[in-house]
Amino acid sequence: MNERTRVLIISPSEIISSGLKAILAHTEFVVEDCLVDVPDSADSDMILIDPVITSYNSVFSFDVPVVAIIHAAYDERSLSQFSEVISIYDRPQAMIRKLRKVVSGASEDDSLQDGRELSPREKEILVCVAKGMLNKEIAYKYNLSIFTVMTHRKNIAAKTGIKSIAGLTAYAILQGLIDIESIK
Amino acid sequence: MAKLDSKSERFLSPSMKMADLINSEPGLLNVVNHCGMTLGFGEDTVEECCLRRGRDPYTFLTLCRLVLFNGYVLSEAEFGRVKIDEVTDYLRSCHDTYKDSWLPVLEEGIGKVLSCRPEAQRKVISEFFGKFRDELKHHFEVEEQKIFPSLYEIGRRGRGTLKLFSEEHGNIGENIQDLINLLLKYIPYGTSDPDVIVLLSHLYSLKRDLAVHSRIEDFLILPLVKGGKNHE
Repeated sequence: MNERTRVLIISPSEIISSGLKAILAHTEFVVEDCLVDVPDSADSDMILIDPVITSYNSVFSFDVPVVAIIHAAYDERSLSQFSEVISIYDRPQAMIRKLRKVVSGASEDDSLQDGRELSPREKEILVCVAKGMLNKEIAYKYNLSIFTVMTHRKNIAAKTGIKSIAGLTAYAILQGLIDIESIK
Repeated sequence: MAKLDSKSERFLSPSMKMADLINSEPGLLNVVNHCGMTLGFGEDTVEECCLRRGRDPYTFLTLCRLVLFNGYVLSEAEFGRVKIDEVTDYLRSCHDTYKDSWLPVLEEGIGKVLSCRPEAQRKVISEFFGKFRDELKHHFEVEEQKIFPSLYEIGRRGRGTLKLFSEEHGNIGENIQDLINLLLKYIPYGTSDPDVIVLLSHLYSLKRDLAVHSRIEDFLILPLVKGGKNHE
């Protein structure tokens, strides 16, 4: 539920990086690295960045939420490209609350994909999951990449609202997709 | 229902009447129960009710805030004043309530709801519930045997180490939501069945309470122990 969120701080100010690090120390946000400039790629779950070092209209190539850390008045339009804006004058609680909102917002986006009924392919994959097959085995059986199998599984969970394997098995039986005896 | 808004989160005060507090936030009834307080508050204030039970009013109100305000972040000052022993008592009492009252009620409710369902449905749902119940009990056992004793130790001596809370919290929340969805979406009832509504209401309550329970462990206990801000 409350998983660790790995955070990268990018700011030329040591005071700001250290201050943020101290504020986040007792939370689920783990500061993994503090950089003074934008890296080519980043392997964290969230990036906190000082907008002074981003070019005026830079579009971020990162696929994780990017939060601006502001310490002075700043142009509203360029701030709108960030997932959230925290000010160094925010109270720590307010700051952490904003970051938590970013994290929960990001996971909500994933579940927006919920269409309605399962597609025939999703049903096939569900049956395999219910029978206890691994992603690798399912991928091999249907000649799919493991990544595609994982995407299907994510969509199945989003559509049905059921995430555990035991729950999916129960679902498959209730829907008549498999026979109760076939999973013994 | 009159909800306290987020601006008033700091204004839950020891001098409020306990009955007024519960009336405005019925969700706190569980906290009162888990803190071992008994009803019949009369006109007594939160402070008086707590002291009568030997509870620290400050710790009680901090627990209330964590319950009421999802995402509530404690200030350093609050961390400094919370009594870790009382929070541990609270968590332990939650476990007892879940095991002794809630799970049996759920089990009975599921039996009732499924009694007139086809064999396959009955089997699938009761097996799923059985697994969920056993996992939950196992999770409680692990915490009671391995984690609570170290917490009491830390409360007494002001220091100590803690093995991390089990990472199963997420799974437990997931499983209960799965059970809710199976009952809500995938059992065709045909007729209106008041027992299903009662059962689902109980499941939602348990889900909420379990979420609060793990919030207290993750956002109160863990930072307390990690930050070494234990008093006495």
